[in-house]
Amino acid sequence: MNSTKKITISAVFTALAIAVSIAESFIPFSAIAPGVKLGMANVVPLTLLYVLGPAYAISVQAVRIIATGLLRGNLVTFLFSLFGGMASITICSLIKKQKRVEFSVIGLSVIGAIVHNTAQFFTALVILKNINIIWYIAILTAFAVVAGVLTGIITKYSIKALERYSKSF
Amino acid sequence: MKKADVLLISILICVCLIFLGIYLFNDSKQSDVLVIQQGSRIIYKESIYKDNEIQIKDEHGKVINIVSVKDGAAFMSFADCSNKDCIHMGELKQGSKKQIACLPNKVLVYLISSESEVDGVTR
Repeated sequence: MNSTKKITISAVFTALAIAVSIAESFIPFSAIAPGVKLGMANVVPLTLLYVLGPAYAISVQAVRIIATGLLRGNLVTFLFSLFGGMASITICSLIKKQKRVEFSVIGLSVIGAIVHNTAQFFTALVILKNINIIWYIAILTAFAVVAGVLTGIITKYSIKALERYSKSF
Repeated sequence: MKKADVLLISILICVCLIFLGIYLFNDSKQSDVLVIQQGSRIIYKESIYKDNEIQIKDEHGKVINIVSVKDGAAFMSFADCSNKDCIHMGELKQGSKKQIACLPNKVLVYLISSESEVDGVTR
């Protein structure tokens, strides 16, 4: 794949990720448990990690977070998505790079969801300086496993689709 | 799914259960003092049975959250943020173990025991 093609795919996927982030914020997952989300926007960087490699995945994630941060939310919510999102894609890239333990797309997606939540939880811990919220990790982890498996399955199909599509032109 | 995936998910379920255990075994029947924390600063500490309406303001004096206390139950009745998670978090009553958090505004509402000398921050 030449670099023009790579940049075009990244641009389209960045736009898609921003749209999905914003669309998802209208779905009231918080009615189930506060702070819980499906994390559909993470399908995009994870797909790019497999198809284009870590550099593209991390850059697209960064642009998505900055753009959605400018469009909505305040400084605190921006910091939450920044730490969560960047930690998640960076750790996923590193885990995919090492060859000792091999995870499938679904496993990597679960790791991404867990790292995302944990990073955000520690951000909350730093802001509030109150260790009594630690039990909430149980709820976040339980939902992260479910959400991670679901987005992992979607990522699997989106990788296949993108690979097929990128060969056709 | 590979072997590593199954192992990973099993470990995570164990972690969940451990933290759930911490939550369930934490005795809190006596906790009846409502504490409101903004950032790491405690801004309110009164009995849950004292009816009140506490306005939480940002540094410019704008009201960002309102906590209502009525008939021994406290709940978030107003939030200026977009997701309104805290309003959906329900009520705190004597013995409630959960907290109500409004993270965009750095606000945390919880109960502590009136007998314990240490507060929620140092515990």
